Amino acid sequence: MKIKKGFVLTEAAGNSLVVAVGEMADKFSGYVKLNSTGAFIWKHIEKKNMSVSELAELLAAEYDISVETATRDIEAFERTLVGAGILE
Amino acid sequence: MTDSCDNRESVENVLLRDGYYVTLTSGVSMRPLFKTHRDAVVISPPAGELRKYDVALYTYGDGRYILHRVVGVREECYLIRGDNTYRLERVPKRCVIGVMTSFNRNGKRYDLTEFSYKFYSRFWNFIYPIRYLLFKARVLLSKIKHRIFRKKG
Repeated sequence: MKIKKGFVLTEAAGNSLVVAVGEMADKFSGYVKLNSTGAFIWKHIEKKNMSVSELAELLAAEYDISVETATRDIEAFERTLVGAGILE
Repeated sequence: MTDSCDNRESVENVLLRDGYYVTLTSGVSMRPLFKTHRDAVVISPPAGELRKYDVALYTYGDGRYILHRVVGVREECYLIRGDNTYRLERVPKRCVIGVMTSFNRNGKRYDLTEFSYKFYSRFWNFIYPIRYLLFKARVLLSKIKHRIFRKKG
């Protein structure tokens, strides 16, 4: 799972927001609001390219949920952000 | 520095509804801090009177939104100047609709309490007289150059 170049995470009034900068801003306007799980995933994948299973382990440990539930959440997150053109 | 985002909904409405407004920066007036489309700023409604070094978002109601730094506070207005401009504006307090609360610069998120930002904003304002003199010297040199070449031509 990898973030496309030109997207950054910012925070406003306790909300985690993904905004497009640079050339990407010509294609993508506005911002995407992430929930706490989404922000957690984002902060990990912005550091390095990670697989769903690697992330599921981390998410399960962080939120005290099963790896299966974490995997489902991550896959849903991935589908949404790939669909929005934010992840590749 | 003018706002570059989709302005179909007014910034005032977004601030009222969401309590924040995120936009990319454009223009050169806040250089070297911000570069066009490279950086994103988070604006919040002012919680009270702005203070010196705050970055204010203001509008005169003509559809343009300007993001410049407060360099002085007076009874009725703020004294405002872009980090890369040499003209002081007296902006009525009622024209200020927001204040920058954080920003993303070159991919990194900055809080306004960070030492590097606080140092920059104060230092840059402190050396304003030197920057102004250098700016005037550049303008003068440019005029002299222009005259010399015009005479030769």
